[in-house]
Amino acid sequence: MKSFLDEVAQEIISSKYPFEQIKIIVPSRRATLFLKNALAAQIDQPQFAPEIISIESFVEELSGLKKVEHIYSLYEFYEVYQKYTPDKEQDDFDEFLGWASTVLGDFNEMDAHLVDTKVFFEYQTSLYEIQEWAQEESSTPLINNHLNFWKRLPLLYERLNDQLYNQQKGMLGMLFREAVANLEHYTQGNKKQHFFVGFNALNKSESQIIQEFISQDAGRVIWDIDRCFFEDGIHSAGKFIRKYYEEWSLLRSEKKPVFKDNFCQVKNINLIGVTKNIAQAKYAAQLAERIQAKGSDEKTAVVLGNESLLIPALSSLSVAQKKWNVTMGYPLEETTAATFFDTFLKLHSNISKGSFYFKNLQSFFNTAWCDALFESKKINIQETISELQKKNLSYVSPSFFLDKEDSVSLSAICFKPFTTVANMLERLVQVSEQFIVFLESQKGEEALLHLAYFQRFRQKFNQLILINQKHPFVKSISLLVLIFKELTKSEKIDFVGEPLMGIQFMGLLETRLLDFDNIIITNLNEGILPAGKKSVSFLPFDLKKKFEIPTFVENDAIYTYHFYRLLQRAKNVYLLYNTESDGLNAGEKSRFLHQLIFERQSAHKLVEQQLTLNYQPPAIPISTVVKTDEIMNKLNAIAARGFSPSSLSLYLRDPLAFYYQRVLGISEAQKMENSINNMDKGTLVHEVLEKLYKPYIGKALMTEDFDSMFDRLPSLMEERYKSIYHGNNERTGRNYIIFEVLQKSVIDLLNAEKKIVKEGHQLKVLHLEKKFKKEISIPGISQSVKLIGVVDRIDELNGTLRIIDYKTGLVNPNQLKISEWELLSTNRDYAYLFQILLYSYVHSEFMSSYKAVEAGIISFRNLPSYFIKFSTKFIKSDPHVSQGICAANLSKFEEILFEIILEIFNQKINFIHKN
Amino acid sequence: MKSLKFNKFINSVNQGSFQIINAAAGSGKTFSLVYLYLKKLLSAETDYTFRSMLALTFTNKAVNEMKVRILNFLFFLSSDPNNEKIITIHQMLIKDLDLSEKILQDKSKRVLKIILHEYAAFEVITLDSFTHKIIRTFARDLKIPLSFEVVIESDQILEQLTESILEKAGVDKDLTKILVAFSLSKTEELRSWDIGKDLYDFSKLLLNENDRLPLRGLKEKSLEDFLEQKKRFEVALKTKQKDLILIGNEALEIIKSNGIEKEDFLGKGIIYNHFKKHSDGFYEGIYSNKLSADLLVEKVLYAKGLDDYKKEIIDRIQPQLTEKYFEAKSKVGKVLILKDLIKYWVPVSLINELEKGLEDFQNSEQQMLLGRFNEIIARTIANQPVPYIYERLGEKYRYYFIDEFQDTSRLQWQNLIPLIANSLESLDDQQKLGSLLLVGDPKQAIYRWRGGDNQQFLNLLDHQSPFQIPSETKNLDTNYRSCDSVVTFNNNFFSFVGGEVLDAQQKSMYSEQTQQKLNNKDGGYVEIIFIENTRKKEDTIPIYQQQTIRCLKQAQKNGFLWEEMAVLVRKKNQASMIAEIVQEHGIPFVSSESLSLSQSKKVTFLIALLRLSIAPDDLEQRKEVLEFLWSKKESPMDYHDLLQQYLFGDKNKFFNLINSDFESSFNLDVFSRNSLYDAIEYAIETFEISETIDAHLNAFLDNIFEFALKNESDFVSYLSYWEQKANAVNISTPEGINAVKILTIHKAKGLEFPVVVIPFAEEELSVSLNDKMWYPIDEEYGNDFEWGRINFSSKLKLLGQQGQVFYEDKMRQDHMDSLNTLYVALTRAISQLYLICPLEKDNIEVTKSYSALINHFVKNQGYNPTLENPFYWGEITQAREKKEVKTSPLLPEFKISTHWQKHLWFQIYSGENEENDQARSRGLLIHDLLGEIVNEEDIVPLVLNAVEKGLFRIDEIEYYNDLLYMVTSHEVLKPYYKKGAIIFNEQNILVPNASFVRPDRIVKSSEGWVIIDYKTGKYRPKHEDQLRHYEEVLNRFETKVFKKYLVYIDDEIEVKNI
Ligand code: SF4
Repeated sequence: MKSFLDEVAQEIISSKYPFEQIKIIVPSRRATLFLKNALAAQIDQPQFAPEIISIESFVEELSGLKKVEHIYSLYEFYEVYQKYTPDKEQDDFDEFLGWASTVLGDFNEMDAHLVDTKVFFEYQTSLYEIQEWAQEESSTPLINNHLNFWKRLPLLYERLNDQLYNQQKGMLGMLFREAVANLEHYTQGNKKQHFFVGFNALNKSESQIIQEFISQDAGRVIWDIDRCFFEDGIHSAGKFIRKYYEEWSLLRSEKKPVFKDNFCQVKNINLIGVTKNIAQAKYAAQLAERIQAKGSDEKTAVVLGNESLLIPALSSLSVAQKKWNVTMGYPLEETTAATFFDTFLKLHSNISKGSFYFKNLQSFFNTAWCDALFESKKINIQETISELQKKNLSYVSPSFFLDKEDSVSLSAICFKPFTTVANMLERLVQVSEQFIVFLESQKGEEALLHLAYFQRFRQKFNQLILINQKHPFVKSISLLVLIFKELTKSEKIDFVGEPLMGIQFMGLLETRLLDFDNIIITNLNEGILPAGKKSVSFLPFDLKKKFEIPTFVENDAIYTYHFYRLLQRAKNVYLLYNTESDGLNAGEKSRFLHQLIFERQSAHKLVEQQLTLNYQPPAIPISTVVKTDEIMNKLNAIAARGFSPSSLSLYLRDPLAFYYQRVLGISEAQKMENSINNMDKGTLVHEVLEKLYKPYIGKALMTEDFDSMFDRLPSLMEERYKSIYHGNNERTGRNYIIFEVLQKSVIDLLNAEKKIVKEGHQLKVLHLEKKFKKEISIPGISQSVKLIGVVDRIDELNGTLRIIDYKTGLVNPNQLKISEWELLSTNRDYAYLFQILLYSYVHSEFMSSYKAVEAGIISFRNLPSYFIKFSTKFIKSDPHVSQGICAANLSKFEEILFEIILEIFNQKINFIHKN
Repeated sequence: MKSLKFNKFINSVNQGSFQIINAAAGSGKTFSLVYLYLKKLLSAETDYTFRSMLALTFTNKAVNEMKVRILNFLFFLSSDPNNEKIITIHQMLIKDLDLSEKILQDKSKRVLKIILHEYAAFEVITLDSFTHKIIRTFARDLKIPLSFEVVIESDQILEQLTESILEKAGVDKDLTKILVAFSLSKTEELRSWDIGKDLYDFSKLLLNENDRLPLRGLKEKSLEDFLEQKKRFEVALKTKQKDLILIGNEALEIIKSNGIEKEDFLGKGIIYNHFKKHSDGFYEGIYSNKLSADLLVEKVLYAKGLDDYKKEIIDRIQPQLTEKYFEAKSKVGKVLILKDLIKYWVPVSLINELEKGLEDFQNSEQQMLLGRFNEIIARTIANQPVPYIYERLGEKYRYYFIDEFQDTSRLQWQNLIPLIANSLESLDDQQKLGSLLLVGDPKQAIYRWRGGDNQQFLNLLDHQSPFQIPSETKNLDTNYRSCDSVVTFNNNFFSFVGGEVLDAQQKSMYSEQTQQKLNNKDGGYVEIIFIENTRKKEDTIPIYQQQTIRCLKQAQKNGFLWEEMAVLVRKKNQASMIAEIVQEHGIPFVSSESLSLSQSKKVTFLIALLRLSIAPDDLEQRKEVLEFLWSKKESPMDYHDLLQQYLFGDKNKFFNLINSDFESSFNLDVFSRNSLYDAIEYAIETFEISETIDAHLNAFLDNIFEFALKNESDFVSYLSYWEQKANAVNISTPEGINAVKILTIHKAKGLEFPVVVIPFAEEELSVSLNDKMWYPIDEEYGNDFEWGRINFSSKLKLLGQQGQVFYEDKMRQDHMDSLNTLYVALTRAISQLYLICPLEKDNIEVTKSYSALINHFVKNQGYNPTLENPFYWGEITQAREKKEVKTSPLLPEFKISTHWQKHLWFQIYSGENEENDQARSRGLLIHDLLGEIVNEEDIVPLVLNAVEKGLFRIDEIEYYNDLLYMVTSHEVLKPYYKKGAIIFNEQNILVPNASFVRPDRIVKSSEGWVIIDYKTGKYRPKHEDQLRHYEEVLNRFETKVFKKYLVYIDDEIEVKNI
């Protein structure tokens, strides 16, 4: 089948105009390359190509104005807005940004469609004014505000246009209006023949321009449309061109146009439902490659409805596949550089009391290439991070990274607190430059793309600096973040391959004028293809219709045209859509698919399919480790070093965890948390208590002793806290609360004990943080086994010896009462008891001189219970066995202890994961 | 047939414009809705009626289903009206609309076509997208950024929100006080100091409509107000406590002064003890005995063998004591309530901070929580004049259709009422009234917890219309889904339930509205299995598991496929218990848990790599990596040896060892230099797990992809997201695999299955005990506040009339929720239904639990439930034959390779040749600039323009100016930049059949062509070749080439004459 461009080339050449007298205007410059090729294929003598120009450039040329960037027009608009809006009603710049783009969009539309804005605005406001709801009685503040907004729009519109015009600049709509105004002047001096190729939806200006050229005999228009769409009175693919043939007298006078019958030819059309996005991208690329591999010289295109899917699609091409091209825009905000600047700005905008959040720093350092860049400056990020982690700094002062003098180094650029927004912008450029220089020096090819991203950002920041100098509206970093978002939102990295061979990856808009034999389109869902009622505008629907400004109906018809045009000359078509229906408006098949089904052409072979993914129920993790000789050796070594109570109770809880943590030595990784962790909390309280009680060891406590402890407490708390945070005692957030809570619990404990003393009891602390090491020999194990550990406190209350463990967690009295000994090794709840009993067991000799001994826990989360002591609650209790610590109970404990250790050393029993 | 009975209804409601369809389960609800939609669509003179029709439903799935059905019906009506799929509808429409076949066919054809091409106006949408639309229209009026993104899942935002409040501790003075006090009050109750969770839970109320009313009253209050109120509570509590002691003392005094002693009273002095406790200030649980009841019926209080005179005295003081008793009782209730109020007051007092924080957060992130939409509309938009709203919306809906009405929330309905009223009560341009159709089933209302307000529907059914037009109701009373025995079982069961519930509304709901007519689907089978009711709940789990397996296997024996079976449970953990046993028995299954991403080992492996890139020495993550690789490759090495040898040491050693042993080519540095998404693909490629890419891995990629689109996509951010959300990210339920589905009843709503098994049929009917809820604050504590939070419990019953009513009302709602859930569950089955429930004692209260209802029902049927003998209803029949229409599945094999980067890079710089891999950006820039220079005068404006474009900075202007001047004023080149020269910059020269060439600059001089080409790299011989090629092409013109120059541009200029 002849492609459209071949047809165009033929028509142009047969028009007999010499190429230098020809100007070809196309919807976008993307297709120029193809058009040149098509022309080259039909000439027999080298010659200069005719001028081929996009309509946008053509209009720029006609108007003599320069098109401004979106961000620039926003700033200009705000200036106008400020000037002409009463102070009281003015929005701040950030609020303004929330709606300004939409207003500018509307201005653009009005201009491009040559709307008489005076009439337009007057019509609307007077319409509002006669409405019942706008009358005094029924009007509401919301209505009034909206009305005022409307009443001000004409002035804003006018002044903004003036302001831009004075700079010889304009937004696209203005350019169009101006171009039309200059049209006569242009055509008078014009000697060229203008070919308008492949247009469909024209705005009023375009339509006037084209008509003018035709009527001057200085131009002609070449449509690309199939007969069946043109003649079908309703089909929206033909909506516009049908309209031109009805409305343009120049066309009406022509004889009935002949359009080709391509669409109704034989085609294979496959509709394929896919779960979500990635699978669509990958399957699309896979299909394309499969078709390409057939070796034919057919043309194949993958059209990505969602442009962000480019990379998932490219990465599923095989390594050997070299013939592919990308012709589309990739969103700048999806790039690694965007991520870098996001984290950079966040780092600075989140600064709290002059310090960075560790978490933000970590994010920052872990963006792509950041570590490499720092490494190139001899700064090792990994080390920095672990140093911060070791010091437990969840807030980091910038000075950590800075030399006083230095203001140009990478660290200075990145971490110096910024002074002004201008300074910040300057720094953004500097960071970009650092990256650019560094990435340019990289040998590996993976740096190239990233380099391009940073170059683009530098360019954007440079622009921003200029704008900011002119209009210093941005005063805070959070506003800068908004601007940054605005800046990157619509910006795209343009890929313009030399797309002559192989698989073409494109967006739908880039397919204009082109034809492919095989087409694969992704994201055929409502809301994407086509976009549907998505575009925002302040112009009321009816008004748009009245003034012939496009509504969603027209916008959708544009998509429809592109979609069907692409199908016209294709042979094999694969249409992929998402079947997942989560999200607000997701998972609805595109209307195009319904249209293809319900308006099916008889020669179309339609197949509906569903892509299935391989589903496997999740695998089960490794739950058993066999005790090899190697492991036995390790166990022996541990025995020689000593088992701690906590390691034994870990074994009871989960033998596999015991293996990983104690045998292998994988301790849980130190995580940097926003707040002080449990271990540190424990340490803090333990240390404070040790220091508090230390002076009184061995002596009976008096109430005055407690008073002096109360006095010392606050400074001790501060001091210990500081030592955990390496000298930093700024407390905010959770840490502030925890600190108060911990201090309160220490006070509660002191009060409880003071009360005891006051009531006349005798309390004497004997040991604090007492280390022990005890060797035991267990029948059945050749070597001796050591037990090691620390007892928090041993004291004497009215002559009773108390072995005490402090716990910062919650302990219930029930957890220290046991009814059956087996539970000690099988029930997790008794882990604390196990430790207490072990402490008692190793101290049995020490205890022998005391008539009464108690062992238990002081839980800082259960101070009302104060000292919770171990006791038994056997149903049939042996009269020889006491309910607390006694020889008989300890020997029972010994039995259990031996059993456990024997089990650990039993090579036949594996380490099995316990839930 | 569906059609005949239905037909009558259609005609009966023809005139009314406010119709309600009350549709029991399986009664053809969607069919009726679609039919009525079509009828409206095809009845009007214009073909464009659909533009003013709005159909609202709850889920995207329902939307899709309904749209496709409408389109399909239209398609058949227009192309094949006598097709059996459509014939009934066709006939009904002809009759109802009084149209000829031909006219109907043509009309359908036109309407279908127009809808297909003006599809955006075909508004069958979800209620959520409707509210979204309104919010978007009014965004500027509400000061919301127009480009806001809608966030559906609120967890993350709320978590960040509570964190940000917590962060203020130690910064904001007042707040600090409150937060610390809150924390301390929690520790006093032996609860964790950490108030994050409490605040988070509380912040959820901001999004729940059920809490809207109480919250509204709190809006204007300051922190101080809250503190004041707390003090008032505390004072009240103290007074009440004192009063109670006083009452106790007084009562004791009455007793004593009358010469009565403890033992003189009945039951070892039960009433004496009661007052004694009061006087000791103790009153937890003292109303659990029968004393209250006894006092109410004035039972004697004295002990049996007492002297008569004492009996007389006691009788005489009995009224006094009774009075004291009840006086104390209500006070105790108040004390308990006050304690609650105080306990939960702190989070309540932070509500405004939370709300403000939420607004700030949403605005700064340009995100809006969907859950707030209805509230915003109600507050700001719903009270605008309706024509104005329509005007702004740009749409004027005349015909409303609302599905699943029982689940609409109060606000959703209230926000709609004005819009609907306007169309029902005013004429449009064609002088027609609008219409409204509501469809729903009050018995399937199971979403009260998230705001659904069934009462609205019940009121409408009770003819309480908010519109001027009365409603007309039709009950759809035939069950088209289930087989006869399943239907009759449900009829009987719910009629029994209706007989037992007390509330009149519920009585009629269950005993009358559940009664469905049969659709002559023979067969059907219901089995109730009783299991032992053990003391400990855990002990019953294995029995439930066993019995579930037995049921599934039995159904399989009866010829049902696994995929035809579903196990329905109430709670997620029950689902995992069932999944566990089903997996053990090798039965294929799909459950929400098995769908979770975090269950996939591949996924956790990749996550471990991400973690390692941040903390390379994290041994736990290294272990994850090794464990995965070891299991995957079945390495001959012993697991422990592997760990021991690999785990320790520096990161390079670790990965080198891995690469050599597991034949991978992973490099941690490269990994971490990629974007998040690329990094994961890189890992998949280098570890070669791509050929087995599966649903989980694919969903993981999707998750990362989506995350990166919406957030800062650095590794750290993703990992912290993952830590929060890992368990909640699921793959979508795979279709077309033969597996049993395990799901919650809520998820099963709207679905049907040939076989349904319901284990754990033991749920209590009232589930709110110990839930926190709002309670109206008594006026005695001041008029500033209306609501506080309490724990729902029977203590409310101590409060007399008011508390009793509150308590019972809540219980009534609970019952309705539970019974509705049961109704939904029991009506899912088509052929076989299995219930597994504990055997209950005879004396259990009928409305206590599901199992109580079932046990009593079975007895009521004249059977004696036992463990050995399940109860049967109907007969087991074999599954009907299935037609095997399996098309071969489309299974993609995914390759992943990351070699696209460089290739892609060249497509940014179209002009560059692939060989030139020197990415000198400055060179490229100069090249571009030179391309635009015709002659020297162009330089200054060109450079300025470049600055404006941001290509370089102002302070570089001079550099570029100079550099360009160096070219244009170069001795050799100078003449070719003169004014007046004929210059072709970057002109394409078409070459027949060989595309085109584009020399940088050609000058036509009197002697002939001069070719100039700019180069930015080093000299290469091929540069000359290129020029010669240009020459060759140009020589085929009339003019011949005269000179050729290569211009090398670095900081210096070098010109080479070729
Ligand atoms: S199965 Fe359910 S949804 Fe479908 S028609 Fe019947 S009632 Fe409606």
